[in-house]
Amino acid sequence: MALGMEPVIIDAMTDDGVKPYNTGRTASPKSLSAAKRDALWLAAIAQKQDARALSDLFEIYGPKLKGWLMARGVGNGTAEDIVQDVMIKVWTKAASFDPAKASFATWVYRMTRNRWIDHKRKHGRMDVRDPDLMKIIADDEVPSAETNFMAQQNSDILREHIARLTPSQQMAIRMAFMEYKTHKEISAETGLPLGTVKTRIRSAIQALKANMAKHVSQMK
Amino acid sequence: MTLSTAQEVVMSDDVITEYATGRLSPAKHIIVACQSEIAESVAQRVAFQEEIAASMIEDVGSQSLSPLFMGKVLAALPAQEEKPSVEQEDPAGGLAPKSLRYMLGHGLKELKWKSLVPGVAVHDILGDRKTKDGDRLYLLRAKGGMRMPDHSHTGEEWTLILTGSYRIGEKRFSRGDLHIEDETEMHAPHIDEGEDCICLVMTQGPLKMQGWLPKVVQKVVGI
Repeated sequence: MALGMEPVIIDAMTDDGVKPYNTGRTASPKSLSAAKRDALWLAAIAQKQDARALSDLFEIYGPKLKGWLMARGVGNGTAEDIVQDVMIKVWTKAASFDPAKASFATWVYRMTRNRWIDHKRKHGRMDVRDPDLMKIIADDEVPSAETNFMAQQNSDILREHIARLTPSQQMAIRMAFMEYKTHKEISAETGLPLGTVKTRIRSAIQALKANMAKHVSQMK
Repeated sequence: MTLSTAQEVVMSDDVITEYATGRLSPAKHIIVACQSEIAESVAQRVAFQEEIAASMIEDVGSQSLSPLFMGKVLAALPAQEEKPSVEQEDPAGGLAPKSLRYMLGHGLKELKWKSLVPGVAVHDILGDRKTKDGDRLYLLRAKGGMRMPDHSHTGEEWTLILTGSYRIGEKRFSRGDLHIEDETEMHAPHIDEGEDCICLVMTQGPLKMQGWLPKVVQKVVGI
């Protein structure tokens, strides 16, 4: 890559003064939490009608949300339409975003999921044999749950806690939350009885909840 | 209240996981969305699992946006909305959750009810109550003090109580409770005296009535 093409990186980030969008993509996750960075972009959108901050946000989240949709069998064009609707909604509703209530990641995820359900309601069921989906499945290399979780650079506390769960709890969380599988499908795939699958997912969520509660109480 | 409310028992983590990850059918999704708006304990459990699900989008694998995507969206941004000073209330006293008002296009007060039998009326939202395929969603209104006929269902029945309350045996269900039954259970809800009981209901197949009279009524009114 040619020198001079690199975006400007500002390591230290304060709440006052610095234009938030200068720091985003390449800032070290340790120096600035993703949640804080996103909240600053949101504030810039709401208070200064900063379209650049919106595009910075969606440089990061757009491809992830599109990937999430396509993993659920949504075609390329429809996935982009949904991401577009969500991006416009983030713009128009930026003033209603409250970082104290949820992270931007959760807010935008929820919008995308709901928009997708709405789309299913209006257009009937998705065909999971969508050619785009088959291509992703064929191309997808699935790393083991352990390496996959450990390899993430996101310093998000929740993710750290997920990584601290036992391998089988991690697997349960991964199957329930990431892969678009029903409990019945997980049962068929793993050979575990349906009741066991449900119990494992439930106990993994409980363990995660307990760890998070401990973490919060230690911070006080 | 001496009777236990059923919400904690009935609303399992499994359902919340399916909701958080977008795996429920549209009809069930709307019911859980509505419940999490009006039942604080459910809202917290939902929020927790949504956070897990949101943190997982990192791992699903990105799909790049087409080169023209960003420019196209930025060129056509509409005006921003002002922050609402207070949550917009349903004209009928905030009884219809926002997710339901979105589906209806209005609140409960403006609903056009279709009478089924004296004291019971419905308003269809999604699907066809008379067919067997797919989840259907409707509002059901029953007069206070009524006893519904003994019935079970083909498939599951999910009932979210919006106004009033009813009892089945020892259990009382009131606003914010979600009552999930499968086809093995036969029940006859007894609506409490007073207020009309309005519920948001998801069923997957025709009700199976007990006794010949309700069966005839069912044939005639079609539920």
